Amino acid sequence: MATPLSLYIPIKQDAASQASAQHLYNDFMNIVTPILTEIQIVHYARLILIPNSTGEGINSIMLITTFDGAMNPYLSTFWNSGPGFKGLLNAIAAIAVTHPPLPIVSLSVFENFINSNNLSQPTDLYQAYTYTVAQITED
Amino acid sequence: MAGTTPPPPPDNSNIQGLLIRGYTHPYSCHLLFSFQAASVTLNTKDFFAELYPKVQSAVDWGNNKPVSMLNIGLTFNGLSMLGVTQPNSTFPAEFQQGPWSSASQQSLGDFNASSPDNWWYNNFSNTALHCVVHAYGLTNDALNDLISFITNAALANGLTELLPIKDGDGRLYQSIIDDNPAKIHFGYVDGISEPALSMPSNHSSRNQADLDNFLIGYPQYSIIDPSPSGDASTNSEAKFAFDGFYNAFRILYQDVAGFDNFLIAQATNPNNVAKLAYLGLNQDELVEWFAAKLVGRWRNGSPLVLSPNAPDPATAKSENFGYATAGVPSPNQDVPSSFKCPFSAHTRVSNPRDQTLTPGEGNLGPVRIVRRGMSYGKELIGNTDDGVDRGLIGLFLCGSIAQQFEKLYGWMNYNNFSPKPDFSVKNPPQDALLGNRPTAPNLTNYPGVVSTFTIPIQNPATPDQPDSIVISGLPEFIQTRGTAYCLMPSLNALNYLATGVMA
Repeated sequence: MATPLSLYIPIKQDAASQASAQHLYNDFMNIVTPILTEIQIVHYARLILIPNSTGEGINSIMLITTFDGAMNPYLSTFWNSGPGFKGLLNAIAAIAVTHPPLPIVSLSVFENFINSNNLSQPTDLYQAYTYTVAQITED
Repeated sequence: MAGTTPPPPPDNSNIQGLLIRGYTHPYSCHLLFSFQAASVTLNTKDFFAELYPKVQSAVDWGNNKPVSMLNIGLTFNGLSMLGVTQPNSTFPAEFQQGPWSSASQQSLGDFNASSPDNWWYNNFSNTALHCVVHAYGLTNDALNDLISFITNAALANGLTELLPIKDGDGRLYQSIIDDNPAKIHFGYVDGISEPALSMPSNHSSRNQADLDNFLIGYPQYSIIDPSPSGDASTNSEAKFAFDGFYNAFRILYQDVAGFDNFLIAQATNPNNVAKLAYLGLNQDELVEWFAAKLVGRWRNGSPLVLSPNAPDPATAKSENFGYATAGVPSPNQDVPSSFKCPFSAHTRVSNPRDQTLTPGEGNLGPVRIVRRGMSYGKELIGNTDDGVDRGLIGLFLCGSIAQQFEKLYGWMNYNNFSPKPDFSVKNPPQDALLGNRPTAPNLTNYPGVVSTFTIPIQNPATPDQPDSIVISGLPEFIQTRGTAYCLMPSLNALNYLATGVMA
């Protein structure tokens, strides 16, 4: 089964946080590509910067992905994938309006941070195909 | 988390005992209760105060085995009614949401007759269950006295007892099969393989079977990091949960007649009989051979890896074995081990040991759970279903319901955790015994899943001609009657519920 994750993080409006958000957007592919290639369960992933309604600055970060496996047991796969993902997650949390105590070093705190900011339910997903990444890339 | 100082050893007097030791009391009953909002504060305090002296800790009882004793679990809804939980709770999401949630059902896969909509025979709603009291007795009289004590305390303090099954008085009593408390209705001796539950001494020695993966509050070397494990001085939930653990309490009906007749059908199938003629087994022995292949152990407990040809009392409780085969160039080609134990045999799925896992499963080895289950319902006589509700009272103990219990359940319903290209990637099978056998529309949650069970065989006379028995259309042997996710609080936390004072 594929699971949708739509992480919606409103961010601070100070200049440093805004610059950090832009930096994360610019580096996102470089950070996640080797990780997601290694774990072989992610179909697609992207980071989005949502602008303020005034057109000035960034309101929120959205991390949107679809991965194989159930949400609850497989969040740990991302957390355990290495320092790159933990760094990305902590950088996002550092500019979030609401976040747990930083740095996030605990898997359980990470899980609760993700679950409390995920806007998607497991059933909120249209699928044109049901294959897993492993099945698609097997041949 | 990495660190340099070993964590302090847990205090066994503060831990509810059933995590650390498997009780051997032959009589038990598992009582379900709902708190009532109007009476939930003062009266529940009295309820816990009455029960507290009988709560069994993990301290070794030596030669003084308690005649009767109990343990207590609380659901998130129960904890909320008791005022333990906080806004923006730090308890794990799956515990907060309950096993009927769509997120948990991704792993548990309970549909059709097993659907959460049908749990507990609809005698009560899933959210009404707040407290489970596990009562144990050395004798039937001792258990009955304890049940009276508990239910009187509940009645006096405004709790409502919930009756989960349809037979008898509706309570979940342990039943004894063949005078053996360890035996389940399907005829197997259960509860053999359990984690060692030792504490790691450093980061490099950590292991999935370590106690800190099961007990809340020891995150230093823990792989699982049971939660809530934040700063107890600022997080009241973490303070309450310290030295607690979780119990995925699951009632599983077992279709014993269906299972027995399935085995007989396989043992008398002419194609199977012809292919297995080299074994020289009679029909009864073939029934046992198929029973062993489904589970990975003979019904006496002997693992197929160590005793591939017949059950052996000497290996009945053996734990020291693996599935990886020496000399195989790639784990993807590790077929030889399956000649002894099929890949989808229940014990191989639920604990694949040294078997290679897919990258998505990480590199820390297969997760473990502690099982403290027992049978319920009258033993079936003969092979014709008598309509009696019977099965397993499952107490699956863990530090993270999601990472341990739900992960293994996901594996059982979809054997894609090991990189076997033709076998488990393109067309994953299911646990031969516990798989949920999806049909449309639920089939789409399990891409390529097959309901076949493949038993590789190799006639010693023709070792270069491996063959297999392929059983199509595996039946659903199990149905879920109900599930509750409970925190098993520490003795200190239970004392807090009884007195309002946290030590």
